[in-house]
Amino acid sequence: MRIKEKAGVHTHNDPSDNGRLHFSYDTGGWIDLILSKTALMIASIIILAALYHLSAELQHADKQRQLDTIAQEFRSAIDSAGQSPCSISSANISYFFGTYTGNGQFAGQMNASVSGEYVKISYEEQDRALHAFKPLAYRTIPLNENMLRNELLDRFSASGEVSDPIRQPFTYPCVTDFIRSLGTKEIDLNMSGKVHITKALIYIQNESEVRELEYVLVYQ
Amino acid sequence: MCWFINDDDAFMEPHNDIISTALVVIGFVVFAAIVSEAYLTFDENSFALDNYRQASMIAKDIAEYPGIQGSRTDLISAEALDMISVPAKDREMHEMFFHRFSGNVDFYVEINTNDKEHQWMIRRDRSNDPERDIIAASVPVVIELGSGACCVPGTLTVRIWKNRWI
Repeated sequence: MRIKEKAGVHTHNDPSDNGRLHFSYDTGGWIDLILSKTALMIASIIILAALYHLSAELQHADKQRQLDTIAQEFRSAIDSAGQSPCSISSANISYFFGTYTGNGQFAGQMNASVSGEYVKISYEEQDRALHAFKPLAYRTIPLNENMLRNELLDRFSASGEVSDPIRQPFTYPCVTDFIRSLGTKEIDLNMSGKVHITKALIYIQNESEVRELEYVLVYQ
Repeated sequence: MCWFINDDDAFMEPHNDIISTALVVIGFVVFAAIVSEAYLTFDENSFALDNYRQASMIAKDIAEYPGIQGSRTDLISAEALDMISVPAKDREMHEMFFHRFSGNVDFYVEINTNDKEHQWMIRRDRSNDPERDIIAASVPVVIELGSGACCVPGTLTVRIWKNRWI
């Protein structure tokens, strides 16, 4: 293709203007060709980079979804223990993360932790960390029963069992606030080990009335 | 169309690359938008499903809660509901009703008879943000009105607000 020459004759004597003039009065179409091909190459590079970025983001989103699923299953196990009456066996659960550890997609470090308010599953690889949080439906304490009873003994001089309820002058709000403070600390769990989920009852006696408080205990 | 095909001036020819590149870019942007929209929809649905399970579990738990049971374990006492529904007459009973549940799960309970003649709402004292999304689950219950002379079918609904930090 040849673009028609523009009318008129131009004479320029300044040698510094030669390049610009060549560019302006090029009638061969080469500049046009080079510019369009360069633009095409740049656009192709941008599209390829965007595709690569999109693919990487989708992989991260997929991992995040899997972490959410792991956290959801762990949360469901704790909540199902909370829902069950203390007397039946479903209130005592042994939970394993085993099916997820060593999974090919999670080659990096995966951690699980639990507090009185939520469960957290986190995963770190290279320079990026993913987290999945799930709030718990029932009041939970990340301690075993002995530790809980010892804490109550130290604070209220009573273990809170049915044979040794917490008595006056300790009031119900005082006990619940103390137990809530025990659950604020986040406890890390070993994902290759067994997690025990049980239910504990704490009794508070106020004159003739005895109150029963239910808590889910999560420990290893 | 004929004009376009028979055009010998090649006016468009040098710009074909640009046009095709623009089409590819537009196509890619549309594709990325569709993928992200599909992912967001999936994420929203999966959140709704997770929370529906939790709401359903809480609803079943409340339906079996001994504190509001009537003369039989499968009945819910209207008198007990009167004590803890808004405004709560028995603060202690109201407190015990919510004590088992973590403060992180923000929910309220609605119980009504199927004929809509009686309705109770049990909610925590703190105010909730009405702008947050709500997931609800219901279970059928039988409500004992008065002193057991009359039992009517009803529905117990648990509505969970979307958690602020998720």
